[in-house]
Amino acid sequence: MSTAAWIVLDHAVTVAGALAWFSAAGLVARQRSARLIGVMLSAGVALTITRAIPVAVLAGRGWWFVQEKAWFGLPVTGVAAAAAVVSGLSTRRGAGPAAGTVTALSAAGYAAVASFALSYLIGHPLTPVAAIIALAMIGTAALLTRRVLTEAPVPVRDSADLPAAGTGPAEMPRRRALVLAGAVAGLSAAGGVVGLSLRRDVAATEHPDGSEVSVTTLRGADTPAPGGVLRRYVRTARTATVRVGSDDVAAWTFEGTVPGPAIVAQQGDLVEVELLNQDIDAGVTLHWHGYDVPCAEDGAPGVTQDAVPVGGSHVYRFRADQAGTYWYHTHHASHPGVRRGLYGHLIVTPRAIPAGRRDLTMSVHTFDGHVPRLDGGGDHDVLAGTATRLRLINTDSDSHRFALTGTDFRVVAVDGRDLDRPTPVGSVQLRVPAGGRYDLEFTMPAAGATLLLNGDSAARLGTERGYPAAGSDAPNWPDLDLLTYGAAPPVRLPAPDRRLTLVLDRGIARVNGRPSFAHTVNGHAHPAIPDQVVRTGDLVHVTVVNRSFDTHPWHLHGHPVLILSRDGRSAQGSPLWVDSLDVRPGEVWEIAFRATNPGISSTRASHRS
Amino acid sequence: MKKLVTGLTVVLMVIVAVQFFLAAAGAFDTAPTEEAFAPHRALGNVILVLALIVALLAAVARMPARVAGTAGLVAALVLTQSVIKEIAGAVGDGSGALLFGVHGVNGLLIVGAVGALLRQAHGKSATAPRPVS
Repeated sequence: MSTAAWIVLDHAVTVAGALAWFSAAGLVARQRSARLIGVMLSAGVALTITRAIPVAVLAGRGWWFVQEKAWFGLPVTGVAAAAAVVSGLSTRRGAGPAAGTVTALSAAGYAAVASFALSYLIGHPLTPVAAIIALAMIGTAALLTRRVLTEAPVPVRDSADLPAAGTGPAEMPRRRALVLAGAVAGLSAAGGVVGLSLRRDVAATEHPDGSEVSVTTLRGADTPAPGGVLRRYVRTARTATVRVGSDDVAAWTFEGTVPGPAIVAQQGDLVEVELLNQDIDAGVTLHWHGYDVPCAEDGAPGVTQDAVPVGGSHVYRFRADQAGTYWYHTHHASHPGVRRGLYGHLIVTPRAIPAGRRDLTMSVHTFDGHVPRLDGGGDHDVLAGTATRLRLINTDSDSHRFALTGTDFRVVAVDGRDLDRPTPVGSVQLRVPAGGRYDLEFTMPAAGATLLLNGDSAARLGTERGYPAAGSDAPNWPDLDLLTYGAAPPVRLPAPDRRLTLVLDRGIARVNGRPSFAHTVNGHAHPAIPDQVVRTGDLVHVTVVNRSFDTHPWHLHGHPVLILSRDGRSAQGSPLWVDSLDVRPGEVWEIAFRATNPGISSTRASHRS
Repeated sequence: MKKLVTGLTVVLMVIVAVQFFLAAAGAFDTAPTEEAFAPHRALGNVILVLALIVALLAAVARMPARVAGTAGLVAALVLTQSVIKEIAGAVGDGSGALLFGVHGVNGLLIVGAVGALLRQAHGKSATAPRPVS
């Protein structure tokens, strides 16, 4: 069973437990049969104890999944349940007052609700403030329950509604209860305010030791490598109408097309791109997705440069030292900007390319309100026997599945970096994460080949126009697991200099000063996520944990990361260097990178409903 | 205090009706889902807080236990709405959409619960203004 399923099961058991306790309380309050009460009581006890099973399993998957359950949920619900049982048994013997029993049973229910709320609404990590607030709320709810009950059944000598502020002895307990409830509620509220403000304070940026270096000075080589040339490009960002399916869409484009014209270079060339902004009011930048460019060229607005306003320009320059499949896109308001079309391909080929090879680049993109489309797809004439390279790019913030029918193929590169000794595979699907790239190579079969995007035919290669029909079973093919693909032994890494853990969750956190139910990293929501500071040259080991029910696309600027393990299972195949990866619900990824590129890199988990 | 509680339950009923309007408006909005349903989500939070306040006030004002209990039930059902949304989203495409149908059914339960709350709070304060000594 998957970790996410166990998390759901744990929630379900907790909520069912709460329902059982409340039902038992209701039955006692209505003085129903002792047997019925006994059944409900037993159900409550059983569910409270049963909960230890999912918690134990989840603890095995990682402490991050159970921290608040182990420290708060289980002990508090356990104690409340024990108190409820003692109280319930004494009632059945006719000894205790019914109101006390109902309160105790309700309190067990409140404890279960609080435990669920802490897991679901607050998430990771559990803070003492959150625990205290939760306890205070259980106490307040129990007090109020008690208060309601002591009056309800028979109003014997009630004087509560007398207009005069009677201060007789009979009034005292009521007052005290009110004051106590008020104080507890007030304390909880104060605690909540303090807690939320603490969350913000902790988020303040830590500054690294040492002298400050302006990131704009962190530029790279300004001459091509021997044998390379200077390649100049101009990319003008402007609005334009593009055809999507049968609709005209008002898009944001580079040079009027989506994707923008490809930027191509050979390894060692110096690439110089002048970015002009004609009429994109929001401003634009160029970010070289996955390409290790110097920090000043990274195009992250507000971090490495200011966005280019309408009428402005910015020149980017970097040496294309790595061959591979990449893409460029605006990084200013990148989410809407890229979605509306501000992106293009960046292809760097090795100096020596085998003659007669076909090289096709296809990128998937989704405009709002439209189905995903494959740019560069459609029909291609490819002679049988031709060595063919297919470069697949995912420009969306959701993953997409590709499948190739008609031939086996090798996945020769992922995210622009070659894999070690890839073996031919067939009848598998390739799940390309948000922003990711897969390069496939195969020899063109005589009967042609068809590329499927999310199960639908998206590109056909061949000569006879008699393309093979898309296999109907292709959508059911298993995903290729890259962690076991390729043949090389795993890289031996020295001990890391720095260990970071990023727990992705959803919870109530401050977003621009307002509390909201947001995606969080270690309990903080964007933009208050603390900076992670590492020293140049450090080997950084990162554990990414996804506690939420959403897939988190994860992308590190300026460095590829080496996948070490997923869910505790070490990578077995070719060393896998990626810049884009999907962390699915309940997954734990361990990755490593060497901080060789000084400056500010951003880790990004972007979202889209 | 009881008048206040009764008034708040009326407000609650009106808001719940508006909530259905916002759900339908969001469903036919051309904006991205997250944006189209922003008002619906915000009002959902208002309903949750309001239901909790009614439960709290009813308890403090020593209204019958059922009033506080029903208000608590409303709060629980409203919380369930967001849980259903999250789970359906996590399950994804086909069965997720099916599961999301429960969100609508649960919405009707909330209407029923608020209706009962209205009756309990109103009936009590209007017809039987508590036994006075």
